Amino acid sequence: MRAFFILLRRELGALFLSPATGGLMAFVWIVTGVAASALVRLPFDTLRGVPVMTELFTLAYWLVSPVAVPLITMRLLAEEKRSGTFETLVTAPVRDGAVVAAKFAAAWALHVALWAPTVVYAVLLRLLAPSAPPPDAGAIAAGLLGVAVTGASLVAFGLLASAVTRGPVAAASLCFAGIALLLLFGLAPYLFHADAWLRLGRYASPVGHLYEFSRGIVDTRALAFHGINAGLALYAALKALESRRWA
Amino acid sequence: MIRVEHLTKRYGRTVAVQDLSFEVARGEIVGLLGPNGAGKTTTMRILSGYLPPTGGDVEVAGCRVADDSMGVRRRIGYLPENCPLYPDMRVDDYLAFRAALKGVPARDVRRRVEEVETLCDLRDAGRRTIGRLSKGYRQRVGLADALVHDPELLILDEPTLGLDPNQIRQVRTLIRQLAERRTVLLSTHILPEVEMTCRRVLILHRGRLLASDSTDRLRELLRGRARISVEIRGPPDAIEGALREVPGVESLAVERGGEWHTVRLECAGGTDVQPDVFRRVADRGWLLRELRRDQHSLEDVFVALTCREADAEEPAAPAAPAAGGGAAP
Repeated sequence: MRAFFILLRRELGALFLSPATGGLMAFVWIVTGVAASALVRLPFDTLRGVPVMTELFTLAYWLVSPVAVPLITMRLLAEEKRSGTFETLVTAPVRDGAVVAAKFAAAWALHVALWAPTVVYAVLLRLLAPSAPPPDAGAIAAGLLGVAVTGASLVAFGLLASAVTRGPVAAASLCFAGIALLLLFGLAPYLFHADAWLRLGRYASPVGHLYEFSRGIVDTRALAFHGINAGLALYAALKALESRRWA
Repeated sequence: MIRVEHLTKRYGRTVAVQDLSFEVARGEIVGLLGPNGAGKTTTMRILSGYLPPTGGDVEVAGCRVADDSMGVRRRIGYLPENCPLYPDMRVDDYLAFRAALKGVPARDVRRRVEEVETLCDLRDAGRRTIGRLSKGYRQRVGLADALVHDPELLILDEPTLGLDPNQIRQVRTLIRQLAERRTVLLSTHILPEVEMTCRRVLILHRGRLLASDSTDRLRELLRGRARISVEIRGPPDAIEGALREVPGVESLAVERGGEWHTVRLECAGGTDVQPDVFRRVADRGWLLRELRRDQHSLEDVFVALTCREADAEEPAAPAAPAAGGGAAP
């Protein structure tokens, strides 16, 4: 565990102090800010009673994440392999599992940190419209939980893409393609209204899961779906690292 | 300290290292020498636990690499080729991070970082970002990293690669200092590097061990052939004719100068041609300015061994590899 925390500290420093992270944060703020501004200007009928924060989490998240997650994860292992620091890292007395876990935890923490400040929009809504019903704090907390668990899946997949490629650009491209496929799969229940798709969507649509979370519904199926996804991706990333030791 | 027995490493169909056996005793400073593609880096990566062998047995500091890779990694300091470092970190922070990762207790990290920075002459660079350091400084940071947990064995892969002559001299001096208390295995394809730094040399070629001995004893291998240099004032054609007839001379080359001409003679083993050369020059009334037996360099040994190996391989299958002391037959 000691190696994990030492590596986590190094990864957090590298991720949070990187100039690229500043740009990424600005990008998230611009997209969520524009989305929030557009949503509060919509006539009430258009939203059909859906809270602004629910729309914000689902709409803005899927606008931002296909770009933000590859940018966060692309350098985690691919850059280390390209520059040779991976060899320095794993010839220290540290297990590959600690490397994977620390890199995942740091990238996930950054992903959550990018979204946590969206709570500010709920405060702004309350201040700007004091006579309207207050935003549902429980739904906002559940929405943030949804962002965190969806992010766990996506970040773990990004780490896997970084583990199986030898350069950050290839890693980002693979991660983007993976998220795009997941997103398309997640949209299927909304595009094809067949029962089978709708049933499948309840279990396996990340878009549907995030929508439910942001309405305040914490469904264990969604937690299990993202937990299994993240676990499988991290296991595959670990095996990709260990493959160099397969004689 | 290192025991390698019948080590083989294949990448698919490519054989990188083939039936390699050698030992390095505690306190030795040994050079792993070979041209590019000889298998030096692969061997070092296996010794450091980065890659598994395809076959054979490797023991480092009492731990078998196959069974106890973590034990090996705790006991060695490894500097990979090209000295990869995190360019975004400051030298102090990087060394503290590496010390902690390598198991130095938290209370000792600062002291160890200061010690290795002093040893590697990095005290003035502690607050500087690694990405802004010169290649020579970065190489010293890499060496400091390899040393920070006070390992018993240092494995250095091409430690002077890409450095300018002054930086090479600095790193070479540093390695010699480090070797006073530790076992050092360093790889290089630069022959003078080995001659100046190492007491023993392992020569690798195409993944096989061609020779394993001290630099002096390797030079002895070529003592069978002598190279004589002579500077004479006289008619060059007559000089060539006279010296070609000296018994034992196998070939000669005349480098014509203004008045003085330099003649290089290649002679068969066991023949001392110098008295005969002197007498022929004196009898003809020519002037002699120099008559010298050249010492063979390690480069000559290396070229002779690798050429002999290439010649042997050309018509038929590879010959059996050499292991242990001495050169391959």
